[in-house]
Amino acid sequence: MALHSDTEIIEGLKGGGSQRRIFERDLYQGYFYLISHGVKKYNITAEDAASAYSDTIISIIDHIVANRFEGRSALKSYAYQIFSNKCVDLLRKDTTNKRKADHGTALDSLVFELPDKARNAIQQIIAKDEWRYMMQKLQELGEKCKQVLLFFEDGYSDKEIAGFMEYNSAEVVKTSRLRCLDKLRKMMGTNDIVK
Amino acid sequence: MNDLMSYIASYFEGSLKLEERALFEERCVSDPEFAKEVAAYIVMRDSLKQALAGQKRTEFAGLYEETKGSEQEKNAEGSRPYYLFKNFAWYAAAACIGLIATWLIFFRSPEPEDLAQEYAAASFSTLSTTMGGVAADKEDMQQGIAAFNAKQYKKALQVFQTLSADSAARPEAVKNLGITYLVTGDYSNAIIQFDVLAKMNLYINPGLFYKAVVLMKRGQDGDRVMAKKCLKQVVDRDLSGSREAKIWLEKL
Repeated sequence: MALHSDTEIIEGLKGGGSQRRIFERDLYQGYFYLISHGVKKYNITAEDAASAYSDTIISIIDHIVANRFEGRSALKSYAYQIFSNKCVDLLRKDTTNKRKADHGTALDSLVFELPDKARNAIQQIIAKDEWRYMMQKLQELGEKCKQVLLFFEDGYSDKEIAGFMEYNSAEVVKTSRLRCLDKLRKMMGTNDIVK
Repeated sequence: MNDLMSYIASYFEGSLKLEERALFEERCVSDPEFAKEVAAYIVMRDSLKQALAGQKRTEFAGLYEETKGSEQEKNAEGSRPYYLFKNFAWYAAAACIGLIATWLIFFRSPEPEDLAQEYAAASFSTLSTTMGGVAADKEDMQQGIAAFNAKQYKKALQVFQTLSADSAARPEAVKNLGITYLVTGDYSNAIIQFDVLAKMNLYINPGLFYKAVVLMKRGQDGDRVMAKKCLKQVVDRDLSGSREAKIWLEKL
């Protein structure tokens, strides 16, 4: 069981700062037994179950930090539901891959924040093999740029990032990360990303 | 800085007004050049998200190894509350084992070398496969890891030394190089590598904790004091390994 209550974990994750990692670890350890449950129920390997569980916890953290977890169920039930779906996805690997390839877009993409009409227009532009190119470009970006962008992607505020990375202010962080995105955009060119 | 980038970021960070958002969405449909830039922004952010998930998966893989022994059994009991009383005999047995473990923990002071040895045996017997990275470096890294896992430490050292000199995979190479030195008993070089690692600006950095492990294992004059200092810093700064560091500090 988790060392902290649901409320403490949710507040801890939302609260950010260096304490957040404690709550991430606690959340991971809290429902660890789901791994053996997955092995038995879905007849998958322990490695696959651990991988599905890892992705489950990453999703929960993401949902909580982005305020997408509405608290309609206990974290235990929420974890169970997501984990079960991920195990089923594992069993239907072919279908999942096909679905991704058809759309050319990950299911949790930022594109889904756009309304239908705009989303269709953008989805048509995004190339199908963008991940392969982009992960390489990211590696070439430079450690500091990469870190500031990853902290932001992890839901930390510019103010918190300023504290972690010894920037003078939140405004400087914002300017820096936009410059880093700009740099990345220039590294991408046009052919790599868009049709 | 590109104003367009700032404008697109404002939309996805939710800082545009309602009417500005509507204009933005309309422009995605009517202005192909603008739509291309929005697409590029989304691809960048989605890729960062993937990279972040990769980092977290790596951290959780380590946590999985730490947890699977003890927590799995403990939590399996938690998942079957209805059998709580039926399994009384098992709980009584577990309680006895707990008492013995408590006695061992509180009345027998383990030597730092033992703690470090146990940790090294549990954590460094094999290296896990890497995630992400440039294709060429990733291939080299996998070769180094395969050599390490096959206990071909000389070959592993060569690979990690090359990668740690200058590559996109430098942090992982430095970490693996330090671990290889530790496993082969070259403690001084292991400490040098973990010092280098500790100074890197990483999301998850076990450098300082690993340095403490080496110091505890080496056990020369002053190593114990130095190890305690490192462990205290790991706990104070909540670095990777803080959970073990907290327990060890109580024992040392």
